[in-house]
Amino acid sequence: MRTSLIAGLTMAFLSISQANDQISLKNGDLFFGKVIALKGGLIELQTPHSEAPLKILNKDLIKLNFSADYSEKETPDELPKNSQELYLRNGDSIPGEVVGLTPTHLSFQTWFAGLLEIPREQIDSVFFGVTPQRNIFRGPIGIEGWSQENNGRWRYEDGALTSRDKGFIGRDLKLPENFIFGAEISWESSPNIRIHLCTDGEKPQSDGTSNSYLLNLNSGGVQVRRVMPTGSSGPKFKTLITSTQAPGNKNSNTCQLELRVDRVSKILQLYLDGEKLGQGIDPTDSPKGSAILFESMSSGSSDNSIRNIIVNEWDTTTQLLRREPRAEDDLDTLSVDDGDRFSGKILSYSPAGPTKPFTVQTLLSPNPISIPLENCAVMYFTKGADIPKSKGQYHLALRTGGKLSLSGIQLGPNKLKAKHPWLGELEIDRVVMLSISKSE
Amino acid sequence: MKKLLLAPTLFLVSAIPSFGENEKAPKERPSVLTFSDKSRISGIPKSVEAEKKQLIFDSSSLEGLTVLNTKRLLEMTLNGAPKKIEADHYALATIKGHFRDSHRDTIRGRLTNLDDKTITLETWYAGNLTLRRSLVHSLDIFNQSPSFYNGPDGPEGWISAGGNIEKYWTFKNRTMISKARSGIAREVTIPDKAKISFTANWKSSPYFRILFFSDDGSDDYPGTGYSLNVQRTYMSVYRNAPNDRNNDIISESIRNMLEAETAEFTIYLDRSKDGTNAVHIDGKEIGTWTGVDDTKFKGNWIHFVPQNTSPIKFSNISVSQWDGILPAKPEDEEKEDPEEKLEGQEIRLANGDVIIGSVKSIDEGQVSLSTSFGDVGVPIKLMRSVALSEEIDEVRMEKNDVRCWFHEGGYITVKLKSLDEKTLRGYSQVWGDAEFDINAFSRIEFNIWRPELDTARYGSSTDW
Repeated sequence: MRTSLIAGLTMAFLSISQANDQISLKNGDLFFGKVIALKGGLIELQTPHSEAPLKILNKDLIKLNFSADYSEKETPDELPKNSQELYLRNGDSIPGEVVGLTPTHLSFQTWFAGLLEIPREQIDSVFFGVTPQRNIFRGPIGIEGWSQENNGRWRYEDGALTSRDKGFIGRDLKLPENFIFGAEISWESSPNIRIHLCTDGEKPQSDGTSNSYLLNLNSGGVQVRRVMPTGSSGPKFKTLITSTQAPGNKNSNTCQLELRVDRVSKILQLYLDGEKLGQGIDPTDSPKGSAILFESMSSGSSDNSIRNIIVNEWDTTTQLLRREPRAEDDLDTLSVDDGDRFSGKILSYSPAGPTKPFTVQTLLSPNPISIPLENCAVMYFTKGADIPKSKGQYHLALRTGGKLSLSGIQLGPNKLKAKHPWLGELEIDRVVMLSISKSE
Repeated sequence: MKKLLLAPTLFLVSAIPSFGENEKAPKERPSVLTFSDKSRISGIPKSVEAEKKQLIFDSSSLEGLTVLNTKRLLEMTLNGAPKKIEADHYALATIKGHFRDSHRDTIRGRLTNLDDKTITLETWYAGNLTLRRSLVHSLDIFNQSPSFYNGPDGPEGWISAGGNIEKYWTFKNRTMISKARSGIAREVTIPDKAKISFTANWKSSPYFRILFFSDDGSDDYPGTGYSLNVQRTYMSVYRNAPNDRNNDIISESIRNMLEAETAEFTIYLDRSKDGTNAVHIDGKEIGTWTGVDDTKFKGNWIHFVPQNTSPIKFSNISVSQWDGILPAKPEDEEKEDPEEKLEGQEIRLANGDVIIGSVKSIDEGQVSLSTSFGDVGVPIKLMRSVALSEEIDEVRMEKNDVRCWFHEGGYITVKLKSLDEKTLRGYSQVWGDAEFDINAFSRIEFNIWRPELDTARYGSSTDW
């Protein structure tokens, strides 16, 4: 009894010690612990393997992943959300809110780095309705927690669930009513995989995966179907979205799939590689299940893999992210949610106004046009004179989405101080940090 | 009993590094520490104080010398250059096990003394080791250095018939897992009397082939060799010898495999014409064969070949010397030897003769035996094994025990006292205190008696 108690406590301690920051170096060295400082070319790591913090030389750093449970005050799910994301012309992206716009600068408020005054010529675009939602699942990180039928044809390797045979693997992800499912699908010869969402269990039932949504991906395209409950009258399947756009291309055996499911208003939206393929309305009562199943349809000769599975809660009160491309390089462009585009000069922003309008001087109208914030989808700024791309020594990935290029990093207990090549000195709240990697 | 032809024996012991002049000394490669939380640190171990559970480590990843604690250290690899010994004989003492532990320590050296209490081996790595005879399970004598393989440690040394190992096999936690049907093979010198053992795990049903004495590692269907085939509840052994007719050796039902997901396989091989060979699964004899001359096999490849795409996991692969004595069947264990037992110990010779007597002395590679027929002198190199005490005894598990793996294969368990860049100091109930040249070892496992670390060390059965 005493032995088992001690073993249990030891296991509990070991599991705690594993849920930590992770540092990987070029020579293959790997460290787990709690990063307590990063400065002067050293990462200080508190680890159970040493009484004093380890002083790791960061010259050969590949990546530093910050544990999600670092903060004792806030969990990642409780981090503030922003519905806008700003893209700099050097590729950086920052979640926040536009709070002002002048002929020379855009004022961008972030909760983690304060107010940023950014010269317009450094900004590529601002996307609206990009609220990062509560993360439900991010993985896979192993085969544990997944249930397999059909004799375990799925395996975990290199961050992916892979199978080259027919078979299911599933998990109850506790899907909320409205969610966004995203995953990267790859294949050896041709894609052939089914994804069952909102199923009642993590294993197929005796009647298959009835009462669910079925996302069918193969070389002929992508299809979303409603699988009707057992015993319901009429056809077993109702097709909600169909696209004949083949996933991948001749140079790539990978695609990024995203399905947004609003079970309250029964709306489903399908994206492939960031492009919206279509929207469907479920004419029935939505399935109530909370599990997901992947079904490999491979016939045994080639692998199908799924990685970077992300399920976020979908707060549909915010607008949907529109991925309208840039229209013209030498003009500002503001696209709105109905697909209209206004090119010219974006003059100002009035956050104090009732509709918080942006004012755009277009070539088509003698007078500036006011566009309420709630209608804005994406705003592109004029690509002026080429400014040299500027990269820092490190990439910082943010837990709420977004990334920054930084140099001269100094990490303290609560803040990261660093120099952004364009934005200058920044102080960034530590809880937002997902990972730091060395720039190539 | 045959008349013995005993000739004076000259022996030569020379110590040479086992790497060539132009090769980079392996010492320059760093050691790697692996901890239970998967932390992995490379560098040079400077010292270990076992009582303090303290390791001083010089890592290029860390600033200055670092003091680490060993409480959750799983293993430390070492890359010193072992000495290659040329001797007139090679003695291998297999130590009795620790309580309920299946590992068996082995110590190799030159036999320099044998009496009713002790066995003394001269080793290049620890000088003379005097072993308590009651704790030695068996003593075997070889005329060539015994060959071992223990693994898998990684893809090095393996080849795949499909060409790209990483495409078809995953290596982790000293386990290899198939991704497809393409087999994997490595060359291992198989002694005249050998034991090949491995653990197989599967998810659906077992369907694989194990090939040995194969002449082509790059082909899942080589020209010659043995093929042990497992398919669900059926096992067969097929022999394809050069210039010989092909034989179906064993065809047996193995129905108890139906509901299992793992099994330990052991293949006992005696290559001589009169030798008896056997296959055991989970300690149970499945079949035996005899009367085949396997010295004619020139190939030394061992293959593991999945027969379908469902993943199969192979681990604890071991190729080692075998004393030629099959494990007793349960029904045989209680049988009394009907022959009157002669006084003394049983010494088996290379030509198959057996001498019962007691060792009077060992000198210059010559054993002087006192037998009921008078005194006999036997060159050690003509001996093959010495039967030892059958009394039940076991070695105590000690705090700070570490398992030290020899470059040549096999391992010993030592209660670690200290370690520096040259020497490992430790104690064993078997031989007392001793100092070991650290170059003898390829890796040292720590915290070996902490079962809660086994999952981190060996992986779990669900870890695919």
